[in-house]
Amino acid sequence: MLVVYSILEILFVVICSPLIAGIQSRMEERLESKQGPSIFQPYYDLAKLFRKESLVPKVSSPLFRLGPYVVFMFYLFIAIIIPVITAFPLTYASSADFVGGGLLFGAAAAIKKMTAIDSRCNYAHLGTSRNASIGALSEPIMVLIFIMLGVLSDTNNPFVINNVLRSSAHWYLSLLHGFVVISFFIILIIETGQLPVESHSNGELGMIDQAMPMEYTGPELAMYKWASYTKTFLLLSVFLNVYILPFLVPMKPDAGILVILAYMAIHLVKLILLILVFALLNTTVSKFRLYKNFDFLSVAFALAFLASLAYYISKP
Amino acid sequence: MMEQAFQILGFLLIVLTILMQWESYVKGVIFLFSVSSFIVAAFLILLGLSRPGENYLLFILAALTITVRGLIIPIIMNRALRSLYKKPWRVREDRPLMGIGGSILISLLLILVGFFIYQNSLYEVLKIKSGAVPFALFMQASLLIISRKNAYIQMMGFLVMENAVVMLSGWVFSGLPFVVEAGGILDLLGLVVVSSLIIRVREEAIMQEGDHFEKELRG
Repeated sequence: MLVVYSILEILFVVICSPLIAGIQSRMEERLESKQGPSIFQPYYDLAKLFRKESLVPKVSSPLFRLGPYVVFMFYLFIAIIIPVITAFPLTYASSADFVGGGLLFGAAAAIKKMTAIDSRCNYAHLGTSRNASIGALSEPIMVLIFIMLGVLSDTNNPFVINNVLRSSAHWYLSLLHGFVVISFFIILIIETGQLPVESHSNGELGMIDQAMPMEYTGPELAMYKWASYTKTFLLLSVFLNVYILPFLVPMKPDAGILVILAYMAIHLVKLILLILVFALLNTTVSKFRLYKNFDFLSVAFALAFLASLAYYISKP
Repeated sequence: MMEQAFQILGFLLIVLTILMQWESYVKGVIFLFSVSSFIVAAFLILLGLSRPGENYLLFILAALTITVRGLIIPIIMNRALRSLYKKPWRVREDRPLMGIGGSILISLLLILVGFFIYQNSLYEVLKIKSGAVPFALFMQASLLIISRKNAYIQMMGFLVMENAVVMLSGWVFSGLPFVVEAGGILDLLGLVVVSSLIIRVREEAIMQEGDHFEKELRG
C-alpha cells in the first residue's frame, strides 16, 4: 500500500504544482483589482510549450537539453521522501533524511546553474552569478535551521519532526520553533523568488531566476517551468507540514486511502492560505535593491542563530 | 511559566534591536524604540505580578515607562524631525560606517559576548539564564551608536541602552527606592528635549554649510 501512496504523492505534486502557481498569480491580480488570468493558465502555457519546437544554441553541450529533465527528476524524487500527504514514511522515505533532502535541492540548483552557463547567454550568466551568490549564503542558513530542528527532535527525519511538533505543545510554542519558522519563511521567500527579493519581471537590474532559462524554448522550457512549480510546491509543503502547521496530516499507515484523499484536499487549502500570504506580500511590498538582499539574508541568519541561543537558555 | 514569559519578552527586545540595526529610516527606528519600550513595560508588569510585595511600585514604573518612553519621547523625536526636515519620513542613514549585513553579524557576536559576561558574573548569584538579555541589549545598543552617523539614531541607541538598564535594575536591584527609579525614567525626558535641541542646531548648521558650498559651486 505504501507504494500506492508514493505514486499518489508524486501525482499530487506533479499535477497540482502548476495549479498553485496559477492560483497565486490570479490572487495577485485580483488583489490589484484586475481580472487576472485563469487559475489553469500555467497548464495552458505548459501545453503550448510542449507543442513548440526546441531551439538549442549551437555552442551548447548535450547537458543543455538534458538539464531540465534531470532537475525535474530530482524534484520527483524529493516528493517521495518528504511528508506531503502522509506524516508516516513512505517506501523510499528512508533514502534521505532532512539534510539529504537539502542536498538534493542543492544538486538540482547546481544542475540548473550548469545548464544556464552552458547556454552561453550573457543574461543566463548574470542570473547564475546572482543566484549563486545568494544561494551561497542561504544554504548555510538552511543547514543551521535543519540542525536546530534536529536538536528539537533528536533526529534529522522530517516525519519525526512533524510528529514531535504536533504532539508536544512545549516545543511547538517554544522560542526555538518560533525563530526557526520565521527564519525558514525568509529562506522560502528567497528560494521561491517572491517579493521583496525578486519580482517576476525581466528587468535586467533585478532579475535572478528569470534570467537563467533565457535560451530555453519548447518542451525544455516547459520542463524547466514545471520543475520550478514543483520545487515551490515542495518547499511550501515542507514549510506547512514540518514547520508551521504539522497538524491533520495522516499519521498512521492504516489510516486508509479515503483519509489520505481527504487530507490532500486539506493540504491544498493550507497551500492556498500560504500563497495568499505571498500574494499579499507581492502586492504590497516593493523590491529590494539587489545588494540589499544580503541584508535580508543576514536577518534570516540572525533569527536562526537566536534559535540556538533560545534553546540554550530554555534548556533546564 | 513566568520565566518563559521573560524569555519571550527578552528575545523580542533583542530581535527589535536587530531590526533597528537593519532599519535605515529614522522614523522606523523611533517606532521600533517605542515598541521596545512597551515590551519593557510588559516586562515590569510581569515582574510586579511575580513579586507581590512590591507590585504596585513596579506597576507605576511600567505606566511611567509607557508614558515617557513609549509615547512622549517618540512624539518629541518625531516633532523634532518634522521641524527640521520637509519630508521627515525620508530622513535616513545614507552612509553607515559599516554595511548593514556586517553590522547584524557583529551584533550577534556582541550578544554572545553579553551572554558570556553575564554567565561569568551575575548568573552565579541570580541563577536566571535569561538574565543575560539586558547585557546582550546593552552591547547591541552600543553597536547601534558606534555604527551610525545619524545623531537621532545614535540617541535611539542610547535610549535602548537605558531600556536595558531598566530591565537589569528591575531584575537584579529590585530594592531600589522608587524615587530613584522613577527619577531615572523622568530624567530621560529632559535629556531627549535637550539632545533634540542640540541635534537641531547642529543639523541646521550642517545644512547651511551645505547650501553655502552648493552656492559656491554654482558660481
